[in-house]
Amino acid sequence: MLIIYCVKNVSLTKLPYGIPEVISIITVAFLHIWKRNNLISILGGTATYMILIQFVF
Amino acid sequence: MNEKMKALKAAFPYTIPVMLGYLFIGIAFGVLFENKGYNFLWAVLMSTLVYAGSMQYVAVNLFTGGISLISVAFITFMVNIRHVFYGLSMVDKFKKMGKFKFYMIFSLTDETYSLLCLTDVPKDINHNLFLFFIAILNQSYWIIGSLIGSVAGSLITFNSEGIDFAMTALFVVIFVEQWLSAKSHIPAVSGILISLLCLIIFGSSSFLLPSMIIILLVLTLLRKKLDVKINTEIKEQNDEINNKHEKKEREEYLEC
Repeated sequence: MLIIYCVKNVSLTKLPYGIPEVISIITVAFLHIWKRNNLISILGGTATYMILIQFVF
Repeated sequence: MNEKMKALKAAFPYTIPVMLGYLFIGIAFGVLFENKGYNFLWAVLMSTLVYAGSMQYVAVNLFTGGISLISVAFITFMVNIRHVFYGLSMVDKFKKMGKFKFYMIFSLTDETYSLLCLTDVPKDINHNLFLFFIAILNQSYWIIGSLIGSVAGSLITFNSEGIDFAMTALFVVIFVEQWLSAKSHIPAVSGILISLLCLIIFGSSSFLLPSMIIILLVLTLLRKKLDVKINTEIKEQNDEINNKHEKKEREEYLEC
């Protein structure tokens, strides 16, 4: 619980309105609730974010 | 020598799950660190001497953000405050470990702690060596992971923009895990709300300290309430169980 404000530091110092961050965070949360596997969640979320930020925005 | 090999062989299988996790997160850390302009020697050095998992991710941002050393120390203390309790519960175990004691204290991580707590040392194995190998194997995975990551990060020239998100993802995973396992969601929600509020008030460069202080204060104040709430919940559950029992008994009685 104490750690999540570190997330805020990263995700809110943004330019494109934080949309890629929001989508990727939802992806991570969804993957984690679904699979409960740290590796899948982190890999999937990071991949989503990298694709979004490089190709979409 | 033989005794050592035996302990090492016995300890290794227990550390395999940790190996997978540490290698991966270590690699991600190495790539991130490399991207911020620190070469692989720095990554290895930091993983050897600091060895602090998620705090190492945060530290990368603190270095590049130019935050004062006092803030860094305070943030590190807050993030890793749980280790006080890990350490306390290990006092008896570590006391007997002689020359290994200081390394064991240093290398206590979440994963190492749970392994030390949960695994029973096989009977014919040297107890101290077994625990020591668990700790040192775990750290070696972390170091190897960060080495691979930072070397790979410097060799591969693919567009790695956005790799920082691995850190955010890591924290989201921890948060979701907490959310799913915690009885009360008040601490989690108040953590988010307070930090958002502080972010708006203090700005992104200096909101960490005030929000940590406020979160601590609020949680301390809420503690009594939370305890009461959890107690009443338990009571309600017990009542429910009792009711069910009574109902069942009555039904059985009626059936007779």
